[in-house]
Amino acid sequence: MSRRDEERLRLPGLWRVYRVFGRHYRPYTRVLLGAGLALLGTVAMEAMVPWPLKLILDHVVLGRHLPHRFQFLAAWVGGDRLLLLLVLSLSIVVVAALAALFSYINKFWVSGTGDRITADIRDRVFAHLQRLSLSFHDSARSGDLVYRLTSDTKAMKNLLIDFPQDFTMRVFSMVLYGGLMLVLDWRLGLIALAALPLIYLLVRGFGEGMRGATREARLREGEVASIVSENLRNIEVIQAYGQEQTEQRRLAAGSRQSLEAQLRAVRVHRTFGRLVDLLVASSTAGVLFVGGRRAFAGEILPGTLVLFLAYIQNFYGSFDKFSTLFMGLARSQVCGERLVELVESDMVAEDAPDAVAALPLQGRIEFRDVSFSYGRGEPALKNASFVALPGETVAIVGTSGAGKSTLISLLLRFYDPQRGAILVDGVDVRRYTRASLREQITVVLQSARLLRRSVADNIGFGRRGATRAEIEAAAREAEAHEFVLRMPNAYDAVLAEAGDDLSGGERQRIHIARAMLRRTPIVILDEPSASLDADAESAIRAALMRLTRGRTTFIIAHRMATLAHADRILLLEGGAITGQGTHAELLARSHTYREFCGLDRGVPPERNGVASLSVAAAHADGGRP
Amino acid sequence: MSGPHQGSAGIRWPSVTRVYRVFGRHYRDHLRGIAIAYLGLSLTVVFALLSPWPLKLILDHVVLGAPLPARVRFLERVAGSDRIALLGVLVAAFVLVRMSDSLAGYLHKVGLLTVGEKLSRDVRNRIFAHLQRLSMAFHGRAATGDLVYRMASDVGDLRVLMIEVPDLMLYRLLTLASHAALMLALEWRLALVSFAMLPALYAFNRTTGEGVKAAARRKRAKESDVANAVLENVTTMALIQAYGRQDLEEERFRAETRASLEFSLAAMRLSKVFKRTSDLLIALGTCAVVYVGGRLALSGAILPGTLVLFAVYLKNLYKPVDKIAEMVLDIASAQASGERLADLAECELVMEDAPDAVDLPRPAGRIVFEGVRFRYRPDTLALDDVTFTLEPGERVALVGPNGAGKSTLVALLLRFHDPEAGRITIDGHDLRAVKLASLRRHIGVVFQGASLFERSVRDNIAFGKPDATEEEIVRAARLAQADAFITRQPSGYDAKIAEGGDNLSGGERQRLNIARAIVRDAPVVVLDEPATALDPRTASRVQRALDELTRGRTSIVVAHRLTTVAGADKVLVLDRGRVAAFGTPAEAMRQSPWYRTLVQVHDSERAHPETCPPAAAAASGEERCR
Repeated sequence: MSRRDEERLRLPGLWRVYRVFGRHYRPYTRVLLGAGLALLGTVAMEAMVPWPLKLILDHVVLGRHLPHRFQFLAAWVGGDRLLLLLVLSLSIVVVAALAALFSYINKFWVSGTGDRITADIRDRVFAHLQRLSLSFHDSARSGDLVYRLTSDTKAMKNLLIDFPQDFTMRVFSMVLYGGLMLVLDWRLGLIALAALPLIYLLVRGFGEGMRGATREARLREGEVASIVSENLRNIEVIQAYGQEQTEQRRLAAGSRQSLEAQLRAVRVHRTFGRLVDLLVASSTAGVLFVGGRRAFAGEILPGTLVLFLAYIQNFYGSFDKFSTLFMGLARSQVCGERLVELVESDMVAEDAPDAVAALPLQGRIEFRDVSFSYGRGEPALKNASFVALPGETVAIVGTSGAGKSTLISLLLRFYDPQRGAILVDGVDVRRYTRASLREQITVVLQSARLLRRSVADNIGFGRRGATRAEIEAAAREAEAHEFVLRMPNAYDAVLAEAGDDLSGGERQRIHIARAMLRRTPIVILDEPSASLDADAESAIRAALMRLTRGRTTFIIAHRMATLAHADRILLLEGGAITGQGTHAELLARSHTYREFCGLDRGVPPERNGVASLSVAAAHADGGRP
Repeated sequence: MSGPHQGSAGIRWPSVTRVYRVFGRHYRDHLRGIAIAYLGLSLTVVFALLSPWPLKLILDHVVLGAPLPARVRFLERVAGSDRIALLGVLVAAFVLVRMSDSLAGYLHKVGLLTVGEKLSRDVRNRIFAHLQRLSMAFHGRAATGDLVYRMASDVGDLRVLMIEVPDLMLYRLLTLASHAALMLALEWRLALVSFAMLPALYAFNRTTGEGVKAAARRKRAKESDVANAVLENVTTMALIQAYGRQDLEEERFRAETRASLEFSLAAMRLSKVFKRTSDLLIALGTCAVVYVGGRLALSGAILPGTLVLFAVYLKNLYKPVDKIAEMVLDIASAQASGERLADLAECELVMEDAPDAVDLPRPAGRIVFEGVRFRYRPDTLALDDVTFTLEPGERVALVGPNGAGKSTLVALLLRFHDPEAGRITIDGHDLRAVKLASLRRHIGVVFQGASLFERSVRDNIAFGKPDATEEEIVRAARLAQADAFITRQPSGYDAKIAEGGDNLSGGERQRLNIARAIVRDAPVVVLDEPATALDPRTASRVQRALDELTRGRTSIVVAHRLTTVAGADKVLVLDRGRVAAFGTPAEAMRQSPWYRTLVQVHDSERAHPETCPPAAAAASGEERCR
């Protein structure tokens, strides 16, 4: 399970992510440099924040002389303490305003660039998805891809922008605060920093335990999630077998373990936090004691003590953030690596270097001893050979898994055969560019969903640059024009997700209209298997007749009438063509074919076994899925 | 506030109170934990008040040597009049306060997280238990992925609402009140100056905060457009590639991402301006306090340390105001999740036993449907006036076109739904009059989608009968023709089934399901015959397994093959929810023209294949039975 990937920093993996996606920085280098400068300004301003109070304390309230680096103030206000107080008070607002300005510039550029880079990466990954072959898309889950393009790309912002920014800021803050303390009073500075090496040792000692506890907690959480998802997938069986109580106990047990692991992790982390607190408090106490003595002795100004306390807090506060920072980095790294995997997956269908564009075809199609298998499994198609003459209608029959879709996919060059060749008008299809070949083939897929766009866009999808008149003509031919006109907004009506607002027969006709626009010499049809009402049936039959007239047509057939009228029938069994001929010929020759015809009356042979009982029933009975 | 279709359009109090009403009772089991956490919380606030004092005292009384005021005179008793000793005592006090603060924080956070985790667990267990009870009328509609998501993510959000928000609210309230009170007590003039900026900060938060929230909402809406675009694209990839429209899709997507980018930039800009402006307001407040405080110190009205003290308190005072907007946002986004969970918890699509329901004793297996009518949606009848009787031990094949109501009939027998009219009885007991659990105990089921669990083979078979002995399991596997392939695996019955049974073939999965039904040894068996293509050898094995399963039991088999029908005692032909024929195979042939044609053509094709003229075949294929 990809989401259970271990969240742990691995430098080579991280390096790879930066190598693959680093180039997205390039358009923004100048902006990012500016943002970096603004960042330094922000941190510097933050270091200024405690100064006004210190100066007021020392030089206004206690009336000590201003040191020479602040002599300019004295020159400015003269000896008037109240004026000095006013100036120093106002400087609080000035510092805050400058800090706000720098921080705004920084955040504006950095965050903006981050969002832009995210968008760029999304576009890049999406474009790559379009080029990936169907073998990739078959094995990928759509939800997973959506997750990668939304969530994972956002994590890239963290990886490419937020982490470098925060990391720089923290390091710079620590250097600045540490340096300032040492410069102001090196003895106090050393005491203030004394806790640092000890905390480092603590991290080394505790780190493994903390990571282990977190990992364990996450693992247990994942287990609970999988108990839930397994349960809900099988709820029908569970209820039918009356196992609800047992399942509940299973979850309760899983929950308990997960809870214990969580609490263990919480305790380890918090205990570590207390120890860090203790070290920091000791260092601070040291500064207070030594600083108090020195101030008493007049070696430092009292305000310096106030300054040191503020700086110590900021120094260790920055240090504290590192663990969160790296935890976030590890989490983003997992996402980044998934994206790298995606953009580097080379299941891209490339045309041969010498491929040419196909000229308008006649439509003679020949499969010559074609074999193909998905991955390393059983061949999905074995030594398939046949010829379809221009204008012929070829029906393909066989149970599901017999290789019908594979045959079609090979013809469309979604895949290339491992053995044998497919020839169109006598030329191996691999000699053609995929795009030009597909331009001459029209498919009407059973499983296809409509797009969430207007009806006109859905039909116009069939041919680039189709005019509204052409679209309407196609709809008319597909018997779709009338019901489209009845819809509010007619051709501009935007279809709901997957065309849910249309009936099955209407959706079919939109698909056919789209195909109608193309007027290609080769047509591939997946015959509708769902039962439609009689009117819809006859409308669709008429539309299909128009679509296929005079074209080489392949039909994945579910109906007797289709078989009877086909010029040629290919009977597929387990990936092999076990019968070829007309309906009458096959009836005479093939037992399987006869069986197939017998069954055809009762239940369409193609039925997905996974539809759950009541869902299937509800769909079937309601008429619309 | 924008329209109700926006999920997180600010806080809607009725829905928040509803969430508390539905889930509030889970607090009750954790009162002790909550008390501990809140004790820690209160202590944290106290220590926050104490923590700048050592520095102040050191400044005023050690460094500057001012005499100790009466309320801290006790320190002199500890340290004597030696200033360095006083310094030592104060530094020790500093460490003590810091560590106490740290420990109180531990108590608070660990207590809170513990309660949060436990509460989440309780809610999750409750929702899960409720899901088990919800009938198929619910599960048939709900998408599994959605439910899993609810469990994982919504429970987390609910925790925000139930634990984190009240805690933050209390923390901020206590901090505000205690700091304000102490500041007033210490130096009321300076305190009033400190408070001056609060109303402005609050008002700014309210007004601009709304705009920031609205922008964030628009941004999220756009984000989900991007997600939808991806989903649509990857689910229609075959079409897109077949028509070579990749470039068009890329362009469309780029437009989506750019639109989303615009919105997120706008939201970012607004939120940064907001944050920086409130920083400036706070700086203005600090400026005023420092100025007035400086003058007071100069005139000797307050000690210099008090100024430091106020500077620290001021920060603590302004911080919570800054966070109020964030909290509102948290509540608003969590309330949607909380509501979804409440909907789920209050969904009452549960098959309840009648109050006077009795245990169904082991029936002989006489099943009677009398005038049963049922519909999933108001406009279409799924079953209409279905009447038939099965005698004990009879085997009936259920045939009919797709959508005829075969699966519905099976679902009613299992009482996944109740009929809207008519009744179903087993051995004379109306299904609604017996306890649901006792009814299902006597029915063995094999569904078409072979559902296997990610457990061992043994556990998968024993699912049918949790207390089954090893012999019973092996016997069932053997009868189901599954023993051979199970024992071929190195770990045999302990072999773990992969998620969804992916490491088994279709036939193997089916036979495990049959073994599960056999081990149950129920007098009534219901099965949806596998329609997926099996090679002839596998098919015959599965057939043998089915024969074993149905032998001597009242069986209803949803038949997808005529060979299955041939072995049945009775045939029930369904068409559009009505019984088109019921009786022996011969009787069914007489009653249903549709079924007769089916069988005749099948037989005649077998006998004289060449005499099946295309026209006749075409006619019979298209004609639906009337």
